[in-house]
Amino acid sequence: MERSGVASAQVEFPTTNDIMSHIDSNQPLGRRDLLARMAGAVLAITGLAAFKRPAAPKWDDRFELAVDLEIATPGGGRYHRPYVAVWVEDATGKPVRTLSLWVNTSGKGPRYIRELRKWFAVDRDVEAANGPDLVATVSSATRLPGRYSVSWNGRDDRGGVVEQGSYRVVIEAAREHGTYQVMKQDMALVAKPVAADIAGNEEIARARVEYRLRK
Amino acid sequence: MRLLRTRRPYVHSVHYDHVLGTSLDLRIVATTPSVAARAEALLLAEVDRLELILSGWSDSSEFARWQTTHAVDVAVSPELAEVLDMCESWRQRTVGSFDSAAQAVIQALATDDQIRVSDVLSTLARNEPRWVVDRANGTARRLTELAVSLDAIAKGFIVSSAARCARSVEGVRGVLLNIGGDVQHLGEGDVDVGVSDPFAPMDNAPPLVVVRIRNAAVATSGSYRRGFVANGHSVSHIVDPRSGIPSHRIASASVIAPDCATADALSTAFSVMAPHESVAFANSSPDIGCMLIEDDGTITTNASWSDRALRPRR
Repeated sequence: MERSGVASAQVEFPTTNDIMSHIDSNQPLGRRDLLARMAGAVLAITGLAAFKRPAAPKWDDRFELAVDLEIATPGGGRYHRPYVAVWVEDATGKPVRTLSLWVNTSGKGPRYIRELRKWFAVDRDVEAANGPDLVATVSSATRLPGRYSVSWNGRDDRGGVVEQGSYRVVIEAAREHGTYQVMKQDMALVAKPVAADIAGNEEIARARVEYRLRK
Repeated sequence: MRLLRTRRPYVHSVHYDHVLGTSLDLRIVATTPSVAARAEALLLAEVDRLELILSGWSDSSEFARWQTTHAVDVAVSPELAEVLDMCESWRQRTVGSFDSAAQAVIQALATDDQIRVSDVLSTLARNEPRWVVDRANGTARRLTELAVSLDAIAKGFIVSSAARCARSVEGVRGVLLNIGGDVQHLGEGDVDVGVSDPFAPMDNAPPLVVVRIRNAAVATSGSYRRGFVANGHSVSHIVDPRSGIPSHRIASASVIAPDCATADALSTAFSVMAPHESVAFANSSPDIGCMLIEDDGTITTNASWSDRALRPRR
Protein backbone atom coordinates (compact mmCIF):
# COMPACT_ATOMS: atom_id res chain seq x y z
CA MET A 1 0.00 0.00 0.00
CA GLU A 2 1.28 3.44 -0.80
CA ARG A 3 2.25 5.59 2.11
CA SER A 4 0.88 8.91 0.95
CA GLY A 5 -2.79 9.38 1.77
CA VAL A 6 -3.16 6.56 4.25
CA ALA A 7 -0.44 7.77 6.59
CA SER A 8 -2.10 11.12 7.04
CA ALA A 9 -5.32 9.53 8.11
CA GLN A 10 -3.54 7.59 10.85
CA VAL A 11 -2.34 10.74 12.59
CA GLU A 12 -4.46 11.05 15.70
CA PHE A 13 -5.37 14.28 17.30
CA PRO A 14 -4.00 14.82 20.84
CA THR A 15 -6.24 13.72 23.68
CA THR A 16 -6.40 15.15 27.18
CA ASN A 17 -4.15 12.32 28.35
CA ASP A 18 -1.53 13.26 25.79
CA ILE A 19 -1.64 16.80 27.04
CA MET A 20 -1.54 15.85 30.74
CA SER A 21 1.42 13.55 30.19
CA HIS A 22 3.45 16.57 29.22
CA ILE A 23 2.93 18.05 32.64
CA ASP A 24 4.98 16.84 35.55
CA SER A 25 2.31 16.16 38.15
CA ASN A 26 4.82 15.82 41.01
CA GLN A 27 5.58 19.50 41.04
CA PRO A 28 3.28 21.89 42.86
CA LEU A 29 2.03 24.42 40.33
CA GLY A 30 0.33 27.76 40.44
CA ARG A 31 -2.75 28.16 38.28
CA ARG A 32 -1.01 30.54 35.88
CA ASP A 33 1.95 28.25 35.63
CA LEU A 34 -0.27 25.26 34.91
CA LEU A 35 -2.18 27.08 32.19
CA ALA A 36 1.01 28.26 30.58
CA ARG A 37 2.43 24.75 30.61
CA MET A 38 -0.74 23.25 29.21
CA ALA A 39 -0.87 25.82 26.45
CA GLY A 40 2.74 25.09 25.66
CA ALA A 41 2.06 21.36 25.57
CA VAL A 42 -0.94 21.79 23.31
CA LEU A 43 1.04 23.97 20.96
CA ALA A 44 3.89 21.47 20.93
CA ILE A 45 1.60 18.55 20.09
CA THR A 46 -0.49 20.28 17.47
CA GLY A 47 2.67 21.72 15.96
CA LEU A 48 4.19 18.26 15.88
CA ALA A 49 1.06 16.79 14.31
CA ALA A 50 1.07 19.44 11.63
CA PHE A 51 4.73 18.84 10.99
CA LYS A 52 4.45 15.03 10.86
CA ARG A 53 1.50 15.13 8.56
CA PRO A 54 2.53 14.94 4.91
CA ALA A 55 0.50 17.07 2.52
CA ALA A 56 -2.02 14.46 1.34
CA PRO A 57 -2.92 14.68 -2.31
CA LYS A 58 -6.39 15.94 -3.08
CA TRP A 59 -9.17 13.60 -4.23
CA ASP A 60 -8.48 12.20 -7.69
CA ASP A 61 -11.42 13.19 -9.88
CA ARG A 62 -10.94 10.18 -12.10
CA PHE A 63 -12.41 8.18 -9.21
CA GLU A 64 -15.80 7.89 -7.57
CA LEU A 65 -17.05 5.99 -4.55
CA ALA A 66 -20.23 4.05 -5.29
CA VAL A 67 -22.49 2.64 -2.60
CA ASP A 68 -25.02 0.06 -3.79
CA LEU A 69 -27.59 -1.26 -1.40
CA GLU A 70 -30.55 -3.56 -1.49
CA ILE A 71 -33.53 -3.11 0.80
CA ALA A 72 -34.44 -6.34 2.59
CA THR A 73 -37.94 -7.72 2.10
CA PRO A 74 -39.07 -10.14 4.73
CA GLY A 75 -41.84 -12.22 3.20
CA GLY A 76 -41.75 -10.44 -0.16
CA GLY A 77 -44.47 -8.21 -1.52
CA ARG A 78 -45.03 -4.49 -1.21
CA TYR A 79 -42.82 -2.94 1.41
CA HIS A 80 -42.39 0.52 2.91
CA ARG A 81 -38.83 1.60 2.38
CA PRO A 82 -37.06 2.10 5.73
CA TYR A 83 -35.62 5.50 6.57
CA VAL A 84 -32.06 5.38 5.32
CA ALA A 85 -29.10 7.72 5.62
CA VAL A 86 -25.84 7.13 3.81
CA TRP A 87 -22.84 9.27 4.63
CA VAL A 88 -19.05 9.40 4.69
CA GLU A 89 -16.88 10.09 7.74
CA ASP A 90 -13.18 10.85 7.85
CA ALA A 91 -10.68 8.77 9.83
CA THR A 92 -11.44 10.74 13.00
CA GLY A 93 -15.16 9.97 12.75
CA LYS A 94 -16.11 13.46 11.66
CA PRO A 95 -18.97 13.47 9.12
CA VAL A 96 -17.73 14.67 5.76
CA ARG A 97 -20.62 14.29 3.34
CA THR A 98 -24.20 13.01 3.46
CA LEU A 99 -24.86 11.07 0.26
CA SER A 100 -28.55 10.43 0.71
CA LEU A 101 -31.29 10.71 3.25
CA TRP A 102 -34.60 8.95 2.68
CA VAL A 103 -37.25 9.78 5.20
CA ASN A 104 -40.98 10.27 5.38
CA THR A 105 -41.79 13.69 3.99
CA SER A 106 -45.57 13.61 4.28
CA GLY A 107 -47.38 16.54 5.83
CA LYS A 108 -45.23 19.24 7.36
CA GLY A 109 -41.95 17.66 6.35
CA PRO A 110 -39.56 14.98 7.49
CA ARG A 111 -41.02 13.53 10.68
CA TYR A 112 -38.90 10.51 11.35
CA ILE A 113 -35.39 11.86 11.09
CA ARG A 114 -34.93 11.20 14.79
CA GLU A 115 -35.26 7.50 14.02
CA LEU A 116 -31.95 7.85 12.20
CA ARG A 117 -30.32 8.72 15.50
CA LYS A 118 -26.70 8.45 14.42
CA TRP A 119 -27.19 10.74 11.45
CA PHE A 120 -29.40 13.05 13.48
CA ALA A 121 -26.95 13.20 16.43
CA VAL A 122 -24.74 15.58 14.50
CA ASP A 123 -26.63 18.76 13.81
CA ARG A 124 -27.33 18.52 10.12
CA ASP A 125 -30.23 19.81 8.14
CA VAL A 126 -32.23 17.90 5.60
CA GLU A 127 -32.17 20.57 2.95
CA ALA A 128 -28.37 20.58 2.92
CA ALA A 129 -28.24 16.78 2.89
CA ASN A 130 -30.39 16.17 -0.15
CA GLY A 131 -29.89 19.49 -1.85
CA PRO A 132 -32.77 21.65 -2.92
CA ASP A 133 -35.85 19.79 -4.15
CA LEU A 134 -35.17 20.22 -7.84
CA VAL A 135 -37.82 17.83 -9.06
CA ALA A 136 -40.95 16.13 -7.80
CA THR A 137 -39.90 12.73 -9.15
CA VAL A 138 -37.51 11.16 -11.65
CA SER A 139 -38.23 9.13 -14.78
CA SER A 140 -35.66 6.42 -15.50
CA ALA A 141 -35.14 2.94 -16.83
CA THR A 142 -36.93 0.48 -14.54
CA ARG A 143 -35.33 0.18 -11.13
CA LEU A 144 -34.45 -3.34 -10.03
CA PRO A 145 -36.54 -4.21 -6.96
CA GLY A 146 -35.17 -2.67 -3.79
CA ARG A 147 -31.85 -1.67 -5.37
CA TYR A 148 -30.39 1.79 -4.84
CA SER A 149 -27.06 3.33 -5.78
CA VAL A 150 -25.49 6.52 -4.57
CA SER A 151 -22.08 7.90 -5.36
CA TRP A 152 -19.54 10.25 -3.83
CA ASN A 153 -17.36 12.60 -5.83
CA GLY A 154 -14.91 13.47 -3.05
CA ARG A 155 -16.62 16.71 -2.08
CA ASP A 156 -17.60 17.58 1.49
CA ASP A 157 -21.01 18.95 2.50
CA ARG A 158 -19.82 22.47 1.71
CA GLY A 159 -18.50 21.51 -1.72
CA GLY A 160 -14.80 21.49 -0.81
CA VAL A 161 -12.49 18.87 -2.32
CA VAL A 162 -11.33 16.35 0.29
CA GLU A 163 -7.89 14.79 0.58
CA GLN A 164 -7.13 11.22 -0.38
CA GLY A 165 -7.01 8.96 2.63
CA SER A 166 -9.03 6.61 4.80
CA TYR A 167 -12.74 7.14 5.02
CA ARG A 168 -15.66 5.32 6.54
CA VAL A 169 -18.98 4.78 4.75
CA VAL A 170 -21.92 4.59 7.16
CA ILE A 171 -25.37 3.28 6.22
CA GLU A 172 -28.01 3.80 8.89
CA ALA A 173 -31.47 2.31 8.46
CA ALA A 174 -34.50 2.43 10.74
CA ARG A 175 -38.14 1.55 10.51
CA GLU A 176 -41.06 2.72 12.52
CA HIS A 177 -42.06 -0.32 14.58
CA GLY A 178 -39.08 -2.07 13.01
CA THR A 179 -35.41 -2.53 13.66
CA TYR A 180 -32.51 -0.11 13.76
CA GLN A 181 -29.34 -0.96 11.86
CA VAL A 182 -25.96 0.61 11.22
CA MET A 183 -23.47 -0.68 8.65
CA LYS A 184 -19.90 0.62 8.37
CA GLN A 185 -17.10 0.11 5.93
CA ASP A 186 -13.62 1.64 6.18
CA MET A 187 -11.78 2.14 2.94
CA ALA A 188 -8.51 3.68 1.77
CA LEU A 189 -9.48 6.04 -1.02
CA VAL A 190 -6.14 6.65 -2.69
CA ALA A 191 -4.75 5.93 -6.14
CA LYS A 192 -6.14 2.47 -6.71
CA PRO A 193 -9.61 0.95 -7.01
CA VAL A 194 -10.91 -1.12 -4.14
CA ALA A 195 -14.28 -2.71 -3.29
CA ALA A 196 -15.90 -4.37 -0.31
CA ASP A 197 -19.18 -6.12 0.43
CA ILE A 198 -20.93 -5.42 3.71
CA ALA A 199 -22.95 -8.18 5.35
CA GLY A 200 -26.70 -7.57 5.38
CA ASN A 201 -29.19 -7.18 8.20
CA GLU A 202 -32.97 -7.05 8.73
CA GLU A 203 -33.36 -3.76 6.84
CA ILE A 204 -30.58 -3.76 4.24
CA ALA A 205 -30.14 -7.18 2.62
CA ARG A 206 -26.68 -6.37 1.28
CA ALA A 207 -24.48 -3.46 0.45
CA ARG A 208 -21.37 -2.95 -1.61
CA VAL A 209 -18.91 -0.08 -1.47
CA GLU A 210 -16.73 0.38 -4.52
CA TYR A 211 -14.00 2.96 -5.10
CA ARG A 212 -13.58 2.90 -8.84
CA LEU A 213 -12.62 4.82 -11.92
CA ARG A 214 -15.58 6.83 -13.17
CA LYS A 215 -17.24 5.50 -16.28
CA MET B 1 -58.83 25.55 11.01
CA ARG B 2 -61.02 24.87 8.03
CA LEU B 3 -59.74 28.04 6.39
CA LEU B 4 -56.18 26.88 6.96
CA ARG B 5 -56.88 23.55 5.30
CA THR B 6 -58.34 25.11 2.21
CA ARG B 7 -55.32 27.33 1.87
CA ARG B 8 -52.67 24.74 2.48
CA PRO B 9 -53.57 21.30 1.16
CA TYR B 10 -51.99 18.24 2.68
CA VAL B 11 -49.12 16.72 0.71
CA HIS B 12 -48.83 12.97 1.23
CA SER B 13 -45.62 11.27 0.10
CA VAL B 14 -44.88 7.57 0.29
CA HIS B 15 -42.27 5.19 -1.08
CA TYR B 16 -42.60 1.43 -1.48
CA ASP B 17 -40.28 -1.24 -2.80
CA HIS B 18 -41.23 -4.47 -4.53
CA VAL B 19 -44.26 -3.20 -6.40
CA LEU B 20 -44.55 -4.75 -9.88
CA GLY B 21 -40.94 -5.90 -9.50
CA THR B 22 -39.68 -2.38 -8.89
CA SER B 23 -40.29 0.67 -6.66
CA LEU B 24 -43.30 2.97 -6.21
CA ASP B 25 -43.16 6.69 -5.40
CA LEU B 26 -46.43 8.46 -4.75
CA ARG B 27 -47.36 12.04 -3.98
CA ILE B 28 -50.97 12.96 -3.35
CA VAL B 29 -52.15 16.52 -2.76
CA ALA B 30 -55.45 16.39 -0.89
CA THR B 31 -57.63 18.45 1.39
CA THR B 32 -56.93 16.27 4.44
CA PRO B 33 -54.65 13.39 5.47
CA SER B 34 -57.59 10.98 5.58
CA VAL B 35 -58.58 11.80 2.00
CA ALA B 36 -54.98 11.17 0.93
CA ALA B 37 -54.89 7.88 2.83
CA ARG B 38 -58.11 6.71 1.18
CA ALA B 39 -56.78 7.67 -2.26
CA GLU B 40 -53.54 5.79 -1.59
CA ALA B 41 -55.43 2.67 -0.51
CA LEU B 42 -57.57 2.75 -3.67
CA LEU B 43 -54.51 3.28 -5.84
CA LEU B 44 -52.63 0.36 -4.31
CA ALA B 45 -55.68 -1.89 -4.62
CA GLU B 46 -55.89 -1.00 -8.33
CA VAL B 47 -52.21 -1.85 -8.81
CA ASP B 48 -52.79 -5.23 -7.15
CA ARG B 49 -55.94 -5.91 -9.17
CA LEU B 50 -54.29 -5.11 -12.50
CA GLU B 51 -51.16 -7.07 -11.63
CA LEU B 52 -53.32 -10.18 -11.22
CA ILE B 53 -54.61 -9.58 -14.74
CA LEU B 54 -51.53 -8.43 -16.64
CA SER B 55 -48.46 -9.85 -14.92
CA GLY B 56 -46.01 -11.73 -17.07
CA TRP B 57 -44.15 -12.88 -13.95
CA SER B 58 -46.83 -15.03 -12.42
CA ASP B 59 -48.25 -18.23 -13.90
CA SER B 60 -51.62 -17.48 -12.39
CA SER B 61 -52.28 -14.05 -13.95
CA GLU B 62 -55.12 -13.83 -16.43
CA PHE B 63 -52.60 -13.00 -19.15
CA ALA B 64 -50.47 -16.06 -18.27
CA ARG B 65 -53.51 -18.33 -18.45
CA TRP B 66 -54.62 -16.76 -21.75
CA GLN B 67 -51.10 -17.36 -23.12
CA THR B 68 -51.64 -21.10 -22.86
CA THR B 69 -54.53 -20.90 -25.35
CA HIS B 70 -54.20 -20.79 -29.13
CA ALA B 71 -56.55 -20.07 -32.04
CA VAL B 72 -59.70 -20.00 -29.93
CA ASP B 73 -61.82 -17.10 -28.72
CA VAL B 74 -61.31 -16.78 -24.98
CA ALA B 75 -63.39 -14.56 -22.69
CA VAL B 76 -61.08 -11.91 -21.23
CA SER B 77 -61.43 -9.01 -18.83
CA PRO B 78 -61.93 -5.53 -20.37
CA GLU B 79 -58.47 -4.53 -19.10
CA LEU B 80 -56.67 -7.44 -20.75
CA ALA B 81 -58.63 -6.83 -23.97
CA GLU B 82 -57.65 -3.16 -23.89
CA VAL B 83 -53.94 -3.84 -23.35
CA LEU B 84 -53.86 -6.55 -26.03
CA ASP B 85 -55.55 -4.13 -28.40
CA MET B 86 -53.01 -1.42 -27.62
CA CYS B 87 -50.14 -3.81 -28.29
CA GLU B 88 -51.39 -4.65 -31.77
CA SER B 89 -52.16 -1.03 -32.50
CA TRP B 90 -48.64 0.12 -31.53
CA ARG B 91 -47.06 -2.75 -33.46
CA GLN B 92 -48.84 -1.65 -36.61
CA ARG B 93 -48.27 2.07 -36.10
CA THR B 94 -44.56 1.66 -35.34
CA VAL B 95 -44.16 -0.84 -38.21
CA GLY B 96 -42.92 -3.53 -35.86
CA SER B 97 -40.56 -1.47 -33.67
CA PHE B 98 -42.91 -2.19 -30.79
CA ASP B 99 -43.86 -5.86 -30.75
CA SER B 100 -45.01 -7.94 -27.77
CA ALA B 101 -43.43 -10.93 -29.52
CA ALA B 102 -39.97 -9.34 -29.08
CA GLN B 103 -40.05 -11.61 -26.04
CA ALA B 104 -39.63 -14.62 -28.38
CA VAL B 105 -36.51 -13.02 -29.90
CA ILE B 106 -35.05 -12.42 -26.42
CA GLN B 107 -35.70 -16.05 -25.45
CA ALA B 108 -34.11 -17.29 -28.68
CA LEU B 109 -31.06 -15.01 -28.24
CA ALA B 110 -30.57 -16.29 -24.71
CA THR B 111 -30.21 -19.85 -26.07
CA ASP B 112 -27.38 -18.74 -28.41
CA ASP B 113 -29.13 -20.79 -31.12
CA GLN B 114 -28.77 -18.72 -34.31
CA ILE B 115 -31.12 -20.91 -36.33
CA ARG B 116 -33.85 -20.45 -33.77
CA VAL B 117 -33.25 -16.68 -33.76
CA SER B 118 -33.62 -16.52 -37.57
CA ASP B 119 -36.76 -18.66 -37.42
CA VAL B 120 -38.36 -16.31 -34.93
CA LEU B 121 -37.34 -13.20 -36.88
CA SER B 122 -38.72 -14.55 -40.16
CA THR B 123 -41.98 -15.48 -38.45
CA LEU B 124 -42.27 -11.95 -37.01
CA ALA B 125 -41.41 -10.39 -40.38
CA ARG B 126 -44.48 -12.02 -41.96
CA ASN B 127 -46.35 -9.29 -40.15
CA GLU B 128 -49.36 -11.44 -39.25
CA PRO B 129 -51.58 -10.29 -36.41
CA ARG B 130 -50.39 -11.66 -33.09
CA TRP B 131 -54.00 -11.95 -31.89
CA VAL B 132 -57.52 -10.75 -32.60
CA VAL B 133 -59.45 -8.88 -29.91
CA ASP B 134 -63.22 -8.44 -29.92
CA ARG B 135 -63.79 -5.71 -27.34
CA ALA B 136 -67.58 -5.76 -27.84
CA ASN B 137 -67.86 -9.46 -27.04
CA GLY B 138 -65.01 -9.40 -24.55
CA THR B 139 -62.92 -12.09 -26.23
CA ALA B 140 -59.37 -12.43 -27.45
CA ARG B 141 -58.00 -15.09 -29.77
CA ARG B 142 -54.29 -15.75 -29.65
CA LEU B 143 -52.88 -16.45 -33.12
CA THR B 144 -49.12 -16.48 -32.63
CA GLU B 145 -47.44 -19.44 -31.01
CA LEU B 146 -44.42 -17.36 -30.11
CA ALA B 147 -43.68 -16.16 -26.59
CA VAL B 148 -45.13 -12.70 -25.95
CA SER B 149 -44.82 -10.18 -23.14
CA LEU B 150 -46.88 -7.17 -22.13
CA ASP B 151 -44.06 -5.78 -20.00
CA ALA B 152 -43.30 -2.86 -22.30
CA ILE B 153 -46.81 -1.47 -21.90
CA ALA B 154 -48.50 -3.10 -18.88
CA LYS B 155 -46.60 -1.09 -16.28
CA GLY B 156 -47.50 2.18 -17.99
CA PHE B 157 -51.13 1.05 -18.25
CA ILE B 158 -51.21 0.20 -14.54
CA VAL B 159 -49.58 3.53 -13.60
CA SER B 160 -52.23 5.52 -15.52
CA SER B 161 -55.15 3.45 -14.25
CA ALA B 162 -54.02 3.51 -10.63
CA ALA B 163 -53.36 7.27 -10.75
CA ARG B 164 -56.89 7.79 -12.11
CA CYS B 165 -58.31 5.79 -9.18
CA ALA B 166 -56.64 8.08 -6.67
CA ARG B 167 -57.56 11.22 -8.60
CA SER B 168 -61.24 10.20 -8.60
CA VAL B 169 -61.45 10.50 -4.81
CA GLU B 170 -63.24 13.67 -3.75
CA GLY B 171 -60.83 16.06 -2.13
CA VAL B 172 -57.82 14.89 -4.14
CA ARG B 173 -56.28 17.75 -6.09
CA GLY B 174 -53.28 16.08 -7.59
CA VAL B 175 -51.66 12.68 -7.97
CA LEU B 176 -48.07 12.03 -9.00
CA LEU B 177 -47.34 8.32 -9.35
CA ASN B 178 -43.96 6.88 -10.29
CA ILE B 179 -43.58 3.12 -10.58
CA GLY B 180 -39.99 2.20 -11.37
CA GLY B 181 -39.41 5.29 -13.51
CA ASP B 182 -42.78 5.44 -15.30
CA VAL B 183 -44.51 8.64 -14.18
CA GLN B 184 -48.11 9.86 -14.41
CA HIS B 185 -49.40 13.18 -13.14
CA LEU B 186 -53.12 13.94 -12.85
CA GLY B 187 -54.66 17.04 -11.35
CA GLU B 188 -53.91 20.66 -10.60
CA GLY B 189 -50.63 22.46 -10.99
CA ASP B 190 -47.41 21.78 -12.81
CA VAL B 191 -44.89 19.20 -11.65
CA ASP B 192 -41.22 19.04 -12.50
CA VAL B 193 -40.06 15.58 -13.53
CA GLY B 194 -36.36 14.79 -13.88
CA VAL B 195 -34.88 12.28 -16.27
CA SER B 196 -31.99 10.14 -15.03
CA ASP B 197 -28.59 10.51 -16.61
CA PRO B 198 -28.12 7.10 -18.30
CA PHE B 199 -24.35 7.43 -17.84
CA ALA B 200 -24.66 8.24 -14.10
CA PRO B 201 -28.02 6.85 -12.95
CA MET B 202 -27.20 7.21 -9.24
CA ASP B 203 -30.05 7.96 -6.88
CA ASN B 204 -28.22 10.98 -5.47
CA ALA B 205 -27.16 12.33 -8.86
CA PRO B 206 -28.95 15.36 -10.28
CA PRO B 207 -31.27 14.52 -13.18
CA LEU B 208 -29.85 15.18 -16.62
CA VAL B 209 -32.92 17.07 -17.76
CA VAL B 210 -36.07 18.40 -16.09
CA VAL B 211 -39.45 18.69 -17.83
CA ARG B 212 -42.48 20.53 -16.48
CA ILE B 213 -45.72 18.64 -17.06
CA ARG B 214 -49.35 18.71 -16.02
CA ASN B 215 -51.90 15.93 -16.59
CA ALA B 216 -49.29 14.01 -18.52
CA ALA B 217 -46.99 11.01 -18.28
CA VAL B 218 -43.24 10.50 -18.71
CA ALA B 219 -41.68 7.09 -19.33
CA THR B 220 -38.06 6.18 -19.98
CA SER B 221 -36.52 3.06 -21.50
CA GLY B 222 -32.86 2.19 -21.25
CA SER B 223 -30.68 -0.77 -20.55
CA TYR B 224 -28.47 0.85 -17.92
CA ARG B 225 -30.23 -0.98 -15.11
CA ARG B 226 -30.88 -4.42 -16.53
CA GLY B 227 -30.02 -6.65 -19.42
CA PHE B 228 -29.43 -10.31 -20.22
CA VAL B 229 -26.57 -12.48 -21.47
CA ALA B 230 -26.37 -13.61 -25.11
CA ASN B 231 -23.25 -15.16 -26.68
CA GLY B 232 -21.46 -14.56 -23.40
CA HIS B 233 -22.05 -10.81 -23.53
CA SER B 234 -24.35 -8.76 -21.38
CA VAL B 235 -26.76 -7.03 -23.74
CA SER B 236 -29.82 -4.81 -23.50
CA HIS B 237 -33.13 -6.36 -22.51
CA ILE B 238 -34.66 -4.24 -25.26
CA VAL B 239 -34.32 -6.06 -28.57
CA ASP B 240 -35.22 -4.74 -32.01
CA PRO B 241 -37.97 -7.18 -33.05
CA ARG B 242 -37.21 -6.39 -36.69
CA SER B 243 -33.52 -7.30 -36.67
CA GLY B 244 -33.04 -9.29 -33.47
CA ILE B 245 -30.28 -6.87 -32.44
CA PRO B 246 -30.34 -5.73 -28.80
CA SER B 247 -30.71 -1.96 -28.48
CA HIS B 248 -27.20 -0.49 -28.57
CA ARG B 249 -27.26 3.00 -30.04
CA ILE B 250 -29.87 4.51 -27.72
CA ALA B 251 -28.77 4.74 -24.08
CA SER B 252 -32.06 6.24 -22.98
CA ALA B 253 -35.38 7.04 -24.68
CA SER B 254 -37.93 9.20 -22.85
CA VAL B 255 -41.45 10.06 -23.94
CA ILE B 256 -44.02 12.56 -22.69
CA ALA B 257 -47.60 11.56 -23.52
CA PRO B 258 -51.05 12.19 -22.07
CA ASP B 259 -51.12 8.67 -20.59
CA CYS B 260 -48.39 6.41 -19.29
CA ALA B 261 -49.30 3.37 -21.41
CA THR B 262 -48.55 5.40 -24.55
CA ALA B 263 -45.37 6.84 -23.03
CA ASP B 264 -44.24 3.35 -21.98
CA ALA B 265 -44.88 1.71 -25.37
CA LEU B 266 -43.27 4.53 -27.36
CA SER B 267 -40.19 4.77 -25.15
CA THR B 268 -39.63 1.07 -25.89
CA ALA B 269 -40.15 1.55 -29.64
CA PHE B 270 -37.86 4.60 -29.68
CA SER B 271 -35.10 2.54 -28.04
CA VAL B 272 -34.71 0.59 -31.28
CA MET B 273 -35.64 3.25 -33.85
CA ALA B 274 -33.15 5.76 -35.23
CA PRO B 275 -33.52 9.13 -33.45
CA HIS B 276 -34.76 10.95 -36.57
CA GLU B 277 -37.41 8.24 -37.07
CA SER B 278 -38.54 8.60 -33.45
CA VAL B 279 -38.78 12.38 -33.75
CA ALA B 280 -40.80 12.09 -36.97
CA PHE B 281 -43.10 9.54 -35.32
CA ALA B 282 -43.58 11.70 -32.20
CA ASN B 283 -44.30 14.76 -34.33
CA SER B 284 -47.21 12.97 -35.99
CA SER B 285 -49.13 13.62 -32.76
CA PRO B 286 -49.24 17.08 -31.15
CA ASP B 287 -48.88 15.95 -27.53
CA ILE B 288 -46.02 13.45 -27.83
CA GLY B 289 -42.63 14.70 -26.66
CA CYS B 290 -39.46 12.64 -26.98
CA MET B 291 -35.83 12.78 -25.93
CA LEU B 292 -33.31 10.28 -27.25
CA ILE B 293 -29.85 9.99 -25.68
CA GLU B 294 -27.34 8.10 -27.78
CA ASP B 295 -24.38 6.12 -26.47
CA ASP B 296 -21.99 8.92 -27.47
CA GLY B 297 -24.03 11.39 -25.41
CA THR B 298 -25.82 13.03 -28.34
CA ILE B 299 -29.27 14.25 -27.28
CA THR B 300 -32.13 14.60 -29.74
CA THR B 301 -35.50 16.07 -28.76
CA ASN B 302 -38.60 17.13 -30.65
CA ALA B 303 -40.28 20.51 -30.23
CA SER B 304 -42.97 19.16 -27.94
CA TRP B 305 -40.28 17.94 -25.52
CA SER B 306 -38.12 21.09 -25.74
CA ASP B 307 -41.15 23.26 -24.98
CA ARG B 308 -41.49 21.51 -21.62
CA ALA B 309 -37.79 21.22 -20.79
CA LEU B 310 -36.55 23.53 -18.04
CA ARG B 311 -32.88 22.91 -18.57
CA PRO B 312 -31.77 21.45 -21.89
CA ARG B 313 -28.60 20.01 -20.37
CA ARG B 314 -26.38 20.39 -17.35
